[in-house]
Amino acid sequence: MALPVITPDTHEDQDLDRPWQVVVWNDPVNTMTYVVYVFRKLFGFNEMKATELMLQVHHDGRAIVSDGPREKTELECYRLHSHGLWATMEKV
Amino acid sequence: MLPASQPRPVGDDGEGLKPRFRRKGDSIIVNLPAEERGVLAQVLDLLADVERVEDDPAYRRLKVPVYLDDAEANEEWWRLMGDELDQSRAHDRAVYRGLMETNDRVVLSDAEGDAVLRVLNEGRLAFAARLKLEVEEDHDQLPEADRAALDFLGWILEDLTVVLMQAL
Repeated sequence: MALPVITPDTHEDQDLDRPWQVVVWNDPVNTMTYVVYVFRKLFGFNEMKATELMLQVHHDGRAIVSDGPREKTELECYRLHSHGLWATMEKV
Repeated sequence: MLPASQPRPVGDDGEGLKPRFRRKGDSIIVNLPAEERGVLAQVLDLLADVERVEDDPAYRRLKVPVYLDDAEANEEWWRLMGDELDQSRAHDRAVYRGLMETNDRVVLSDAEGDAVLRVLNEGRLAFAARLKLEVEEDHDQLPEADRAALDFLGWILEDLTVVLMQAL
């Protein structure tokens, strides 16, 4: 009799491996120029890309500015917070 | 987000439109009148006060959650990063204090300019939180004196941001 095939449940592993994304939220105080500057400085975006993301934050209320492993994105959150932007972590 | 603030200088109107920061090579030349430095120094008092009062909208604004749907992960992030953030902010405030407490002509590096910028921004965030500014439209409803103070900080911040951006 053939042994039953047991398929390992890899759901949890896959969950841990899923990359994270950094979301920046709109707020009524930070100025547009300042947000563009922070995006350019922290992520190396050119002016057009940084402006596009800033406008997405402004109009849509949020924008994903980065993704990757948890350690990297948590550090990016830290740098955004140190510049006064509200950044959160989300699973992709 | 707010658009760039209009100039609202304190003191001599004749100084009103002159930039307070300008770039010279790798340096930033600061030209802040003494009375403006006096006003800007008050940002430090505001921020020091925020650290003492936990039930304060300004405190909550400066400690916003990083994980919205995971309180445990959020607490862990703040446990690991909070002290470092506090140290970084303390360093920025020391640079800022040095600038505001001198009447001499000051030249800043970009790193020092960044530190001053972060304190200015932090001060605006804390001030606006205490004024209960929650959406952009609230700005125009603020009492005149509060709006002028917030806009003044915004104007100084904008001026410095533009100069720092020139080095990117």
